Amino acid sequence: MSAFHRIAATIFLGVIFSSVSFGKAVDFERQIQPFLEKKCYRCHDEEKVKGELRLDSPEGILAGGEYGDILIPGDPNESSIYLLTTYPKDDPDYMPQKGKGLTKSEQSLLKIWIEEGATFGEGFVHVPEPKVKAKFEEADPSTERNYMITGEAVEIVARLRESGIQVDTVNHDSSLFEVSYTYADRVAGSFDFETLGALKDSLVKLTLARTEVSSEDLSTIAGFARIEFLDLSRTSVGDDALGHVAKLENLKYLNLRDTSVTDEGLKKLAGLKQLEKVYLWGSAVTASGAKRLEKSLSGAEVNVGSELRAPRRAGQRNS
Amino acid sequence: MKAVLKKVPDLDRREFLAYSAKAFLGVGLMPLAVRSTAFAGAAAAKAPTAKNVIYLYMAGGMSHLDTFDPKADRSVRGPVEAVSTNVAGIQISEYLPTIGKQMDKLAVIRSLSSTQGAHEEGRYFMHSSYTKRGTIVHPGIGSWLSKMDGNRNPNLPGVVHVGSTNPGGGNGFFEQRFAPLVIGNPEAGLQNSQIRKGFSEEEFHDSVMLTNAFDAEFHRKYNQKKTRAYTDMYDDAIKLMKSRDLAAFELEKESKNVRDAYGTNPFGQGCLLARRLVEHDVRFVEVTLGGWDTHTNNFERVEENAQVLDQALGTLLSDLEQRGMLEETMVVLATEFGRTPKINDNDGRDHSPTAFSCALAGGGIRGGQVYGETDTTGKLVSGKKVMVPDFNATIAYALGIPLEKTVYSPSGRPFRVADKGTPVMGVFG
Repeated sequence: MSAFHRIAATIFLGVIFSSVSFGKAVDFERQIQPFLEKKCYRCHDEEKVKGELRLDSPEGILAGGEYGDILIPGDPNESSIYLLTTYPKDDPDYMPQKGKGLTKSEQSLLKIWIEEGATFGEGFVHVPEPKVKAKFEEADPSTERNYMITGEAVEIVARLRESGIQVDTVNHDSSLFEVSYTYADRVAGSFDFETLGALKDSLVKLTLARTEVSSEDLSTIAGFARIEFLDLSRTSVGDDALGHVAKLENLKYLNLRDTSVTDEGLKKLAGLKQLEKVYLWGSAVTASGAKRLEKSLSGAEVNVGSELRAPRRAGQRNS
Repeated sequence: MKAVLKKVPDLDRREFLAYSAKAFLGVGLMPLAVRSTAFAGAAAAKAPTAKNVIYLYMAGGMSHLDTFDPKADRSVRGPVEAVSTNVAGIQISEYLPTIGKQMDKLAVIRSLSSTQGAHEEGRYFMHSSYTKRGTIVHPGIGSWLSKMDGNRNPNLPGVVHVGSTNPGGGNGFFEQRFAPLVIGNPEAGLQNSQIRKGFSEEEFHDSVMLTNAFDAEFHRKYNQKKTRAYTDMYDDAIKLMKSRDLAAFELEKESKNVRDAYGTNPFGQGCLLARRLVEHDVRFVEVTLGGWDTHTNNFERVEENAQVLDQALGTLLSDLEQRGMLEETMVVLATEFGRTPKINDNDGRDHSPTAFSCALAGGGIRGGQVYGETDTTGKLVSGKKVMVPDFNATIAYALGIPLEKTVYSPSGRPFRVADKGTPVMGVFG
């Protein structure tokens, strides 16, 4: 090949691959560092250190920043040092946030450099600092709500959860609690609500749905005077249980669906003037029994429900 | 923050409080007393009580003009009539008569707006609050709920999708255990969830033990999140097989009347299944109804689809109400975008993401209201615009998921449940 041909080929390749060298590894010092200096140092050098990240030395690049590693040798798409420069410019995570972005050819140089293993040249020896703790961790993968529970409640809640009782804070109010026994696997007579004693002044919701709770178990319920929401649905409780429920002076919501309560038992609730909603679907209560309670409680909705029916429609097709 | 301040002079008191609430939403880390008062002040209305979600997804882009946002202009409205509902002053399409009788439970948002005009991208955006990108998969809001707030029922998955093989939101970069369980046909229930016939309990136990013995060395050596996820999956499956909660999947336990009331079609039965699953404390159930991509023959096809939706949603709302479940269950009706006011040459309507309607009920929603409005054609939002992340922030707020809480993807990038959306406070209480 003549000298002329060689020059022509170089120009040709230079046009196509821009400054990407062909067949030869990307050189960090010569091909990467210059544009990092021009476009990244203004925020990520020893003066500014935005995002706890320095890009002005190989050590800085390898140490990563606030959000952990930024360079995964061999994997540009997991390396935010490359990835964030390729986002659309209006993306809030786009880098650099200030000044001119990386050109297409700079991006591809960076990409190839990472693909090739991201080495910093022969003279560079990396002595990693011992990492005490990763900069970030996965959010707590526990299966319960923990983020609103603080202070002395932490221990109380942990103890109750250990015994299978589900404890949560009420939405948007970390000072109030709700408790469910549905998955606590208790047999009748063993609900001992005394164990909830520490939550006496903060328990507003209690769910006993689908448990074996008995009327006897409920005899201590009056001690939890703040309860506003009580779900006894799908249990075997009957009229005698309502004598205990009637002592909950703050009760607003009471679910008694699929229980064996009757019109007679319902009369015991007549004194609960603050009641707003009572659900009786699937119980032995009749429409007139529900009406009677509604009358003695002004403003409450006592719902016995009705059989669901397919809506009638003119010219309905059957699919 | 600046934008909030600029808006303040135009606001009435209620809205001001709503804005303060938004500004205070970062209170997750503040001391207890301050946090409670911030919300006591902000929540002039009652704090939302949602625990579970039934998310009805109208795949293909439900025409808002022919359902929840009918227009006076005949050239836009086509042959569809607007009819009164059980709430004075609110009219919706004649295609939704049963839902009209439940309007007192629904908050219809007419001012939804999306930036995505293609199905796949729109659906992705609607479910995750983030636009689709090649480098990461964002979790759907159900998986967020499961991750941040846990499962109530230890035996069942926290998230179930019914009726779509391509649901919009999966577990994304979250662990496999937050992935939705996908059920194609609600009537078939949960497949392969029983011990094989002729296989005794003991034999089953032995074969599980054998598998564990084979795997022990491997698990010791590679004790990583992904390998653990794999064994978690086995453990969960076994727990489910032995659970009394398996009955939640059995629609045949319902009477014929109830099944007919929901509609004898996959979507109707899917809604019934959703109710049963939520009764068993599954936290997020999505049911998909497809067929809304009405580029041709819009009116006939919308009417047909609307009939299925009307019957299922209408029945679902009454059923949830009489079982006392609306207190803690939020029903969401969502779609990826609306459709054009212009009726095209094929008597169809095309994609129109700039304005569309969604609806919410239960879990603290103040029913019987319309929030936001569109212009006379329904092409653009003319008041109280709700962007897709705002809509998801509203759902997350109702559930008590902290909006400001940042979770990092394995590659270290920060994400939040509704990106930078702010909740629409006006729909609550």
